Amino acid sequence: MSGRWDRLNLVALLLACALFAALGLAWWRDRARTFAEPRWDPARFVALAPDSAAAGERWVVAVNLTCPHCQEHLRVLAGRTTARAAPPALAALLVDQPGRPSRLDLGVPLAGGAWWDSAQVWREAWGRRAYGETFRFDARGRLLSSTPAGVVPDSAAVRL
Amino acid sequence: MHRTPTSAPHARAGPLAPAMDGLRAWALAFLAAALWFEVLWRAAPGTLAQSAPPALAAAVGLAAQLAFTAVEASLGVAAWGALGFRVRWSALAPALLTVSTVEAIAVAVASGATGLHEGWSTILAGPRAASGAGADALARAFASFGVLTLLRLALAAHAHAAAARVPWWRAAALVLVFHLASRLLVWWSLDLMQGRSYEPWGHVPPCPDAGTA
Repeated sequence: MSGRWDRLNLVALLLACALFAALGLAWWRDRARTFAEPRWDPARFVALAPDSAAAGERWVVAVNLTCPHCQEHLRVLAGRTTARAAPPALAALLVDQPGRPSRLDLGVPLAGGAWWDSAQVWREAWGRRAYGETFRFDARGRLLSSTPAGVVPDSAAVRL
Repeated sequence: MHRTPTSAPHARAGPLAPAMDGLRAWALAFLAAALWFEVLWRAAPGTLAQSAPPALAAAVGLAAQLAFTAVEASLGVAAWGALGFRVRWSALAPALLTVSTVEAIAVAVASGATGLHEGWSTILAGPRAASGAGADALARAFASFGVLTLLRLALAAHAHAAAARVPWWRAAALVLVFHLASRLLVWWSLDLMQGRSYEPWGHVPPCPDAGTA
């Protein structure tokens, strides 16, 4: 009986070591990957809501439909920028969304439109993971900054 | 190869002494489990499990803690066995569960149930007790590191040393390896899963110090 328990404990230790090594390897490989700098190119995404943005900055929020906090961030951001003289064009980029949503209601007007990242550009090409992250692009689509949820993009210290 | 004690520690205490020691260890472990349930039950409304009834959340949390302790003891027995020391799971598991009450206290401190000042809470229970704890995966993995964690590690080392009959420092080295390995696993997992998790990763505004819009 004792021998059986000893073997079980040994198996548990070996499994734990294997898990540790596998996860460490996966993490290292993930960290070793190089990703492209985000750049706003509408052709890479599927438009879900019209883009009526004039020339100026575009703020793109990575939104997942099952994530309430990033949608809340989008709404708060909209509320805090509408009073500006030249508000940025706020846009939502639906990420980690396997299928095209049948209907979309994010509860805010989006001058920059709503876009579906059908090709997983956000995750696979840009290497991004945090929902609610806001990308600030200039009129030519170049990245000015990226900031986490809860931060006003052009007022934060976080910059790429 | 297994080393055994040269003299029976209970030889003079009578034949029932080992059984009484075992009974006492499990009784203390039972009390520790009860304390865990109480702490988790009180902390439940302020956690992500707030959608579940507090008693259910506490029961699930307690089951997870018991399972974690069982695996921790199992790994400890195997590790000591690989080093040539025979350790009984039934001796190590209740001792580790009893020691984990320190972590239960840390959870209570971090949840704000003790009413301590934030500075003291952070010193005792680590940065997780502070409002606005970091969003970085590495910071989150080590967010529980405080004085109470140090105390728990020291007491766990004592439990291992008693079960394996080795010097404390030697047991402390093994406990430290286990602890660091578990933190690394948490760090790597959080890093890899970031974005796939639906928990609040950052804090939603208001964020008055983040600037004006």
